[in-house]
Amino acid sequence: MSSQQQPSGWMVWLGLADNSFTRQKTVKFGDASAVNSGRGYGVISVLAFIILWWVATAAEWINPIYWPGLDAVFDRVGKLANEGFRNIALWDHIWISVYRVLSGVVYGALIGIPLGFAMGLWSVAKGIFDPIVEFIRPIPPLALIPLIILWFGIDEFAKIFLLALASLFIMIIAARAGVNSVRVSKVHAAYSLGASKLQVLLRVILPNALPEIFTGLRTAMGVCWGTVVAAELVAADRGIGSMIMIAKNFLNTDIVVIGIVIIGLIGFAIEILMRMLERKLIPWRGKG
Amino acid sequence: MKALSIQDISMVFTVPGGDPVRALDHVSLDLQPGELMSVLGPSGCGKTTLLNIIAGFLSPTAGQVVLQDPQANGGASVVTGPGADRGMIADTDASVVTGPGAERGMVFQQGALFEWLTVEKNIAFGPKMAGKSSADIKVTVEHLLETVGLQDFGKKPVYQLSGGMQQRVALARCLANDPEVILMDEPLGALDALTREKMQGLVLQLWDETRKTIILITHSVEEALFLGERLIVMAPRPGRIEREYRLPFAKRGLNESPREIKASPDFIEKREEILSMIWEMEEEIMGQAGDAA
Repeated sequence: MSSQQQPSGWMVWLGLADNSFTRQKTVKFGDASAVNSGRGYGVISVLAFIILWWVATAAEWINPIYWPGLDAVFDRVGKLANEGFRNIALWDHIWISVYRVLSGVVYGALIGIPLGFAMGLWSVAKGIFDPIVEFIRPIPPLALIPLIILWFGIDEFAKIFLLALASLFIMIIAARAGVNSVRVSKVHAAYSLGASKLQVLLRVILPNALPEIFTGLRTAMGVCWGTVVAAELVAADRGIGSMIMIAKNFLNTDIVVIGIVIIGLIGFAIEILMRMLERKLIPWRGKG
Repeated sequence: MKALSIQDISMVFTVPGGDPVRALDHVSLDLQPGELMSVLGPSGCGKTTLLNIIAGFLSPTAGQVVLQDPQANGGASVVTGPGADRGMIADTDASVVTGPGAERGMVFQQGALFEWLTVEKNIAFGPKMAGKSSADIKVTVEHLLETVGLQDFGKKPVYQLSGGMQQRVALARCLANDPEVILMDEPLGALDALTREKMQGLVLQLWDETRKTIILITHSVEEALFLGERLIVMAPRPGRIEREYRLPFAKRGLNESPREIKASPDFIEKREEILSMIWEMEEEIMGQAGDAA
């Protein structure tokens, strides 16, 4: 075995070679930890997509109205970054969407977490809110848009209200799950150490629920990001979703594609950021 | 003087649609201050129920647990911990247990530490709840870290420690409150055999140093024999005290090597006696289950 050459670190990172541990395994199929990262193939697939895009548009196989050329997209990105879109800077379009999501998630969490805690700890709150939560939960937030437009019009408040509602139910359920996840021996230990009910709540139940709450925040971020784009598609003059919708009306397919890519990138960035925050803020997750 | 008095406790769980389960049937016990008592029995004999009643997490169907307060002098009794929910007995310095309190410390099986806190802060939890000054808390924590052999681990999060070290933290956290009685529910149950032996030594050492009244529940006959100055063997259906032993091994364990004690003929003889007793109980249960089926 030792006569075999050790694979280089790069090859292992790219997933093109087994790491030294996996190489010793005789059973690899079915062992999830023996599946390599495959990053090398990821690079290949992304490059292949870009080359296909470039070839297909440069050779004019596709009408630019359906799918823009790669060079046209790059030109347009430069222009958007410099001049903005419809007199509003590209960053402002992005920021207003992100701002709406953050506001929605924050308001949803501020109401949802205490409510979820109440439902997890107190039978009266559980009884009152459980039917409502269970009824509204399966309704996609987008189905509420018409009603919210009727109530609040299409201004900023209406959008943030919708997003807060979307994150509210996610946060209620997450907080309640967090309360339910507390091991009773931890609560007993705290009481035996002389803690009051309030101290048990703040020093045991709350920190114990943080991992679940954070998972809820992450889910809420994802759902709200999807919802804000859809809400902006329906009614807005600013924001990344509205940019796509307006560009479509002028057959600016390149802007539509750019908008879609930006939505994907930001959604991805939010997820990565939340995971990093989680590792930093809740390092004890899953280690109770 | 008695540290703790268990007075004619019965516990009946009613299961909807089934026969009531008599988890404990007229159990009475007195503990002297500084006594180390181990409780042994097959599963279903009510030993954990008994401990939970003493701790104040369960309220018995009949009977009561009376706690002597060593701080009290004269007629008035001082009750520490959440006092409003605790009834008093007239003319004595004693109180009836009706809920959990800081004068009865608990050590649970693994998983009861607060994993979001460091080792130090876990140990400091009790004193902090009692509103002690941070200087006092610091002294207590440092002393206890040393006592349980974790002086270099104070700043570590508990989840980075091994199972044995986590139970050291659990012991220290309990001792930080200086409880009158320590209730241990299978504290070493989840540890590997070697760590377990070491920790048995630590329990004995702590008992010797602090002279606390300790009740220890265990599955392990060997552990019950070695640690129990007094050993209660419980029997199931209904849960009751089957036999009681006074044993020399815990005292001997303070000076002699535990391996030698556990290999000595009188230890082995007792172990076999108790093992066959529990074996018979299990057989009987199996027989009953067989009849019922």
